[in-house]
Amino acid sequence: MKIMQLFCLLVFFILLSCTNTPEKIYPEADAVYLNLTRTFILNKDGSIVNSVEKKQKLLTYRSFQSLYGETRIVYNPEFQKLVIQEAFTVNSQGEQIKTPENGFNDILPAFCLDSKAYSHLREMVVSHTGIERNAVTNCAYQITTEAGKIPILMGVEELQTDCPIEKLTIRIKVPSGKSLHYNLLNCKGEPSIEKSAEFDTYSWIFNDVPQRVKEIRSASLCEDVPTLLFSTQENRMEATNLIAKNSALNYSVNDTVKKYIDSAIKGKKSTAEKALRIQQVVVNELKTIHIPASLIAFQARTPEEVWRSNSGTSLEKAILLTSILKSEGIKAELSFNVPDCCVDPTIPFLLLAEPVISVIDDNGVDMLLSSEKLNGGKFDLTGGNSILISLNANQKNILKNKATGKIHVEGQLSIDSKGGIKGELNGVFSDVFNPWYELIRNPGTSLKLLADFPGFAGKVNADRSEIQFKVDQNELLVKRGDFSFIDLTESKMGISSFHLNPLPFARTTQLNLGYAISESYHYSFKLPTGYHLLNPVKIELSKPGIGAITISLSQTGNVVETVRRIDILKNTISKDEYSDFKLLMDKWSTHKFRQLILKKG
Amino acid sequence: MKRFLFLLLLGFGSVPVASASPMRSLIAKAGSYVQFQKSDYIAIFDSTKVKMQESGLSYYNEHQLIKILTPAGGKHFNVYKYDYDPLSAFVEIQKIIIYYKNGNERELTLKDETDYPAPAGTILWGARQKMTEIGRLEAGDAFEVYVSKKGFTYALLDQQGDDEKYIPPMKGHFYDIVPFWSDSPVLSKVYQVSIPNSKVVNYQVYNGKLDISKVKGTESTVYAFSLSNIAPITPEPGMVSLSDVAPKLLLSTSPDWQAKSRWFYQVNEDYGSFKSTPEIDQKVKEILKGATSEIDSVSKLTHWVADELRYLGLSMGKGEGFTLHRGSMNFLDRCGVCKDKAGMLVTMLRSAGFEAYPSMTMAGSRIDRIPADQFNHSVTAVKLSDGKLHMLDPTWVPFVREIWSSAEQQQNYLPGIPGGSDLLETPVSSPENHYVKINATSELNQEGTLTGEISVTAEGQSDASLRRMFTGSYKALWKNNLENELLKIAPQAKILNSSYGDDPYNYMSGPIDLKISFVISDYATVADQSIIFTPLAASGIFSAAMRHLAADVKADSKRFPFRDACSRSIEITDNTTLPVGYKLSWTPTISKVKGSGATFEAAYSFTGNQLKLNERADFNKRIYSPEDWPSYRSAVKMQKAIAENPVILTL
Repeated sequence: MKIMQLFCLLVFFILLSCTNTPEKIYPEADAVYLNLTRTFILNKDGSIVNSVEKKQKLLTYRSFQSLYGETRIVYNPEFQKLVIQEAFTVNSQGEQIKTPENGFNDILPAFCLDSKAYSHLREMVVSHTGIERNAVTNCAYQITTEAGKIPILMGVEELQTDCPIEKLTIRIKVPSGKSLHYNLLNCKGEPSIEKSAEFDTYSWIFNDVPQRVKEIRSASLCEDVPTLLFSTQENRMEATNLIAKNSALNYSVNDTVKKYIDSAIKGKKSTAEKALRIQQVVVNELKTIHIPASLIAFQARTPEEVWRSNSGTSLEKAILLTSILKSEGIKAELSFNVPDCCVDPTIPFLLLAEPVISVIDDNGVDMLLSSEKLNGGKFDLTGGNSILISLNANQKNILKNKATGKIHVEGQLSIDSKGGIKGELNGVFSDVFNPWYELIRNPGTSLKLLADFPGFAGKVNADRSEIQFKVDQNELLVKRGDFSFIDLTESKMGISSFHLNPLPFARTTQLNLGYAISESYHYSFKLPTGYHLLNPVKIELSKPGIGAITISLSQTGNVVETVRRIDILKNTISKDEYSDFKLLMDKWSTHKFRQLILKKG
Repeated sequence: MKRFLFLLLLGFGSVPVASASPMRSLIAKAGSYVQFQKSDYIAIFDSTKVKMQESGLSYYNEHQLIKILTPAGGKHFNVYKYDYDPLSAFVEIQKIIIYYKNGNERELTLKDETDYPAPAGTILWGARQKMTEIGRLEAGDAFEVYVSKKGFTYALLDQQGDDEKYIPPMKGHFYDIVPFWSDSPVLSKVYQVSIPNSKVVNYQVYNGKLDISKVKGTESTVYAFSLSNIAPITPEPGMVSLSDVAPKLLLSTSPDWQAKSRWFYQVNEDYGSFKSTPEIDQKVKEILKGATSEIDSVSKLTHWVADELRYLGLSMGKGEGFTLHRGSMNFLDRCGVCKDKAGMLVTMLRSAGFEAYPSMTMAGSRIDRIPADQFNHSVTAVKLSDGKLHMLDPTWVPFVREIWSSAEQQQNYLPGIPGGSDLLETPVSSPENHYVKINATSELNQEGTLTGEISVTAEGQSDASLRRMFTGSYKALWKNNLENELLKIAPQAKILNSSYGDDPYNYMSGPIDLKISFVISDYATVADQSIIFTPLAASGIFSAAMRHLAADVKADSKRFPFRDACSRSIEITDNTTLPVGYKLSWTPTISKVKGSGATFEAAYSFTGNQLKLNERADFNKRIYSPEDWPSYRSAVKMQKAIAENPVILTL
């Protein structure tokens, strides 16, 4: 009997050892990468190989109907060679279905639309066939970049995707002795380093990487996204040289361009007026082609070619804008706006760079201009924490800002017995919310910065603009029986432009506002005889380190004073701070606290 | 000038480049931004000359003269592009002459043309584009463009020879749909077609009048259609497609829709689109296991194709277009565009013993009587035991509790059947088939805090609209998406419980049923012996299922027919228990609405300390005539008035 028991026990353990590891389940995910491997190789001859291997299990209908049915690979056939090594599906029954020949389609990437110069770029669409729930798609491909095109191996690899990853491997191979600089942001992990006579191989393996949930205003790469930055660049000069070697950087424009611009800026007196008018021409009259700069090896056509084709990449338009500004005798410098986690000179900042043009106006004030959009001011471009890297040899940080968006409006209004509201409000719009450039572009015009009230600029400078609003309206007050209702007006430029309603109860990512905010509205309403405020309110709520709100609706005699003030002290709200932030925002957004209710009698 | 232009255009094929002075004159006389203040450019003329051959092969020559009025117009035309499908059409941008306002001219020829694969989303059929870069144009500049083309829009049959592949699938026939509208002014538009005398051509001008001439020659007859001073139509919010209301010309040598129907049937039968395989037969058996009725079987097969064949178009090579991919290809690839999904369903229905056919339809606009191919969508027809054809749309019903999407009610279609069919139209779907029922029961306390539960259930297209917050979203966000519905109305709400049932993907198990239990502090203003609040159910919550609430109702009347997503009925009930002692003091004025477009009625009642609101609205169809607007508009305004105006109770 004992032998029998021992035998059964033995069989039990053998069976147990033969059982597969239980499959992990992902009730909150649409799909899961069972394996995702990215390899970057800098060969001795200078060619670069970038390969991807992925194995993804599709869990929901949406995963195969609209999320992960295709693998799209953008490349530049002029100096890159794409090889698809494998593409097949293993369906839920375990059958293998190879992607058929017609499942590989080379198309023009949509971002190259309307550009003859870049109509040679391609996007390979690998369509995964035979997919269904619980199918596993397999795809491996390799892009080889010709030697000499991009002399630096560099990458910005986000280590999280919109579905979980069971095993994520990043492998980087550089010729033996070549330094690889790397920096892991927002996560921890040391690479294993394998050295051979030919190559040094750095490998990072991450297991069970959670999915990154799509949430509004997710924080930027530097602040929240697990990312591996790597490069073989020894200093910034090595990187900026990639741009600097462009022949486009002779900053020359021909007579045709000069003549057109001379006419466009006729009558503009100050440097700021001229610069902003020129920016308007480049931004509005030439199409922008949103090609990733690395895809064309950071090259640019000359300003004349760009002008002639009436379209250009972000870099090309920036060079054109700089060239035109210079041709008009304006001191302008091409720079790159990059996140502040790129301070280290070995960080591959070029992959994250947005070209901007810095101009010094007649008062010695820095202006920053985009070539893609008519920015409202310099903070409109640089966001919260960013640095500017110039193209000159010194490569020093030009600017680091911690901007705040400020709006403060106050004034007196009187309500007549028929419900008409008249009065004047004085607003101060500062820092990020300063419409300085807009006011220079459109001098003397009425700006709709506060509801539909016509606004007229008073004292205006780079730091702040004073705007006076005339109020003379009959529709602001709504009568319902014996009661009258007035919604308290706030600027749509302020925090309401962030569309933070609704705010869910919890977040998995940080919330990025871009800048701190200080906004206040202090109105005095003179009531007609016999009316009183029905809904006095007094709220003072402070969350140290995050912000505060004050809401006060009160009556003294025949005057109702309303104060609504919100201060958010940080440009990024962490997951831990989020519930306090939501509390502040919920109070701020509650309709009851932004409305006056008046009653007669 | 008009006569000069017309004569010039009829002979444009022979206008030499050297004789550019007439163009200069036209450009000078055409006007500027002063006359055309809302336009960035104008077409001084836009002419097309077509020569049809016996085989149906057609040669097109297009000739336009465009004048730039603003920098935005110059930006728009920095390149000139032409889309084409190399399997069925050949295109050349033969020449572009640019007339700069400073007197300079530049000529671009075929050597300046670039050919490349077109950008693509989910249809990967190998479409290409030809592009010639015009470069920078400024206000006052103009360009003249010559394009030649042969072929047609779709490819079908296995053709041989050089030009053979450009012969249309309905061999020996020709059709064209010529819009005589434009979003920029056109001073003169001419369309001329030469058709062999052996053909009988039917043509009709819709929504306007054209100047028409007909000159019969020994071998062919030349028809010319022209219109001058075409101004852009000012659109109305929610209006039907411009093609339904703007001037257009339809021509066809096809005798009638029956012929087109028979041809569509035969071409797919000949290709073997619906031939089943043992694997398909096996899958059909598996799907139909447990089917309880004929319609249940049809529903199971329709929804299998809808859900399991994703929308993705891979090319079958020659024949792509109107030919439906073979069932075996669709089944293996598990993908296809509308026609392939329709074909897969025909294959499976036939495998299950049903009589089924492919059909063509036009989503988004009307099909007019002239049998020109006004189709952009393909669906399935099945003959049931009642002897009638029933329409099925496996493309439009993923996660929709219908087999024919009512978002396609009042839509023309043409079944491809052996005996031929006339053009048909899908019926109106009753609003009750797409009900939305919102119900809230809550209690309001003396501090203004509202506590209770709100639920919504819906059917048909309304069910699909609500369900999309799950099926159209990442699974990780499902709970948030539901809770956000309440937080949009009351950001300060606390949610005690929320439920979306077992699995929103399991849509055939029953209508969607969403529930949220909540506590909302500061919901009502309670002060000075008054309570002021809006009943939660009436506040516009779950508006995704009530698209009419987003309609622009500013206009008193409509010039054009307008559309909604679907017919629907709305039932809102709200029951709020209030602190004792209050009486109803003010509610928004509610008027009953009854008309051809919509009906609406609502009433507040107050008994004891219970405030009840009952709201009921019916929006009767999808496509409305201008006469339907007053009632539609009033019903929307009434529902919004209740949402936007609180009730006032006083002690």
